[in-house]
Amino acid sequence: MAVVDQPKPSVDAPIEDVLTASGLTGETLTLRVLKGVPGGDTAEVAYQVPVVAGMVILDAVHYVQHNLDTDLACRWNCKAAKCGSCSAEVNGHPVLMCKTRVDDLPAGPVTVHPLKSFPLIKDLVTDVSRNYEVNREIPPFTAAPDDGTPWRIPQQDIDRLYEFRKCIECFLCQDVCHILRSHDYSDRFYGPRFFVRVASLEMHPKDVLDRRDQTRDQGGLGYCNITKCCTEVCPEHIHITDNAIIPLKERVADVHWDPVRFVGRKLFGRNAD
Amino acid sequence: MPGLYAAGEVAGGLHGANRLGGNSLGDILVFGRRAGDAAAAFARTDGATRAIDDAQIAAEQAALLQPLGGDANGSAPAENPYKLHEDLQLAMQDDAGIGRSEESLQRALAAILTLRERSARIRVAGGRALNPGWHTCREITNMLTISEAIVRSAIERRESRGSQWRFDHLEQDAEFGKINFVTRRGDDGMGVASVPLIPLPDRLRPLLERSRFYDAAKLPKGYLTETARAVGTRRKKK
Ligand code: SF4
Ligand code: SF4
Ligand code: FES
Repeated sequence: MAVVDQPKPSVDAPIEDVLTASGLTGETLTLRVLKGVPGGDTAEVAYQVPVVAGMVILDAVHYVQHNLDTDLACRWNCKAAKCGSCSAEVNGHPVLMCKTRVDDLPAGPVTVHPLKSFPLIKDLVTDVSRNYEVNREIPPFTAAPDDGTPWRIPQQDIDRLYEFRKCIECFLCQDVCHILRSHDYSDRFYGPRFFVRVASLEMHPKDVLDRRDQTRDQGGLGYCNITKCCTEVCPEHIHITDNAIIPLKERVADVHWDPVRFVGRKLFGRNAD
Repeated sequence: MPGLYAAGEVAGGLHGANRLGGNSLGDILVFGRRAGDAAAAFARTDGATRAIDDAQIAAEQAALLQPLGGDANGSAPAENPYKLHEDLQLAMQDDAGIGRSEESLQRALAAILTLRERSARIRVAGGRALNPGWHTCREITNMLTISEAIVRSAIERRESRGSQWRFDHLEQDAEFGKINFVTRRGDDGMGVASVPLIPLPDRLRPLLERSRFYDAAKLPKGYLTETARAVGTRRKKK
């Protein structure tokens, strides 16, 4: 039970007093938020937000919602960079709003826009349902029938999989990838998040399925030209390109472009791999 | 209410007086499974299709839409639901935290009742699509109900137990260990009734009785009392 010595604001205190008690810096932030719905007018609306020490962009958006514009839509949940809901483009960079500190940004107005690669629903909220469809297309982890022996998995394999398991499905990597963002190939390209998922399954020593052809054919793995933009924006610091995509490309090449294996496969079937 | 199932912590009361971080996982698994099985079985019965009173639906819709309906009635100014939310947070934080007393709880109750009056005048701009202010109107209404139930029950529980430290009742009272407080909506507001606990199955009782927390006499000397007294005196000085 914390005993608070500083004077507490009364229940009826205006929000400004409450904030003073929790560390107003005296500065004001101009937040330019893209507001609108598809088919209607979308425009940046500027809001003046009093800055609090340690404030993150999501705090500023909440201040706007609470005090200036209760109708401003944004997704969020954990405010701890773990649920992956609050993705947006702050000053043009795809980030988690709850992890982006105001004092880390250059002085001056800050723009907050919705993720550009997904269809807009309202204000900062986009429709990311295509990602869930792709997710369903990937066959889940499948082990061989249980023969009663305990699984032994080497630590290296565990470490490799743990990196991929850190994904919080914020879809920032999907947002930044030019195959989806500029070419709009969401119908033929799974995107970095799902190459991470496929890699985690393909590299699991106890998984028995083979998703390489699917990843090449429906997943469009070949479109990726290893720009590493996805890796750069990943808030979980997953080495998407180096540890998931490139090894997957190698595995696909093993099947389709290794002449020795190619002949072997023709002669002896898939198990020749 | 037939057909309504609860899973997880909302199923209530599983962990007794205290609730430690991570305990919810047990609730999720046990009650998720039980609620899922039961709901599936219920869906196959005739009872699953029942007529719902249109008047009730209309009343609920009207209540939901009211905050979108332009000016607040009467001369008092419209209320911002987020303001109410903040005020409720402060009232609960200050007066209904882990350390509490009759005096502080009565203060919290008074604040909640005032907020409830104000909540009749919440108004927000915008429409029904993804309007967080409008969602908050619903949430604050529910939060006020839950907060009132918490505070009214805490007032009745004149003892310290688990995560309730009553500065005015520092000891755990074995008699209170035999009852639960249940809040019900009555004609003149919310009422609190005490109901006896359902006795533990015989196979579980020895487990619980072994616990030193089951019986206040077995509590380590000074547990609760000393710390609570210290905090209580410091608070009173303020
Ligand atoms: S490395 Fe590949 S998947 Fe990642 S952003 Fe670049 S093109 Fe897209
Ligand atoms: S891989 Fe990284 S950037 Fe992509 S969805 Fe997962 S956590 Fe987000
Ligand atoms: S709110 Fe959960 S990641 Fe930002």
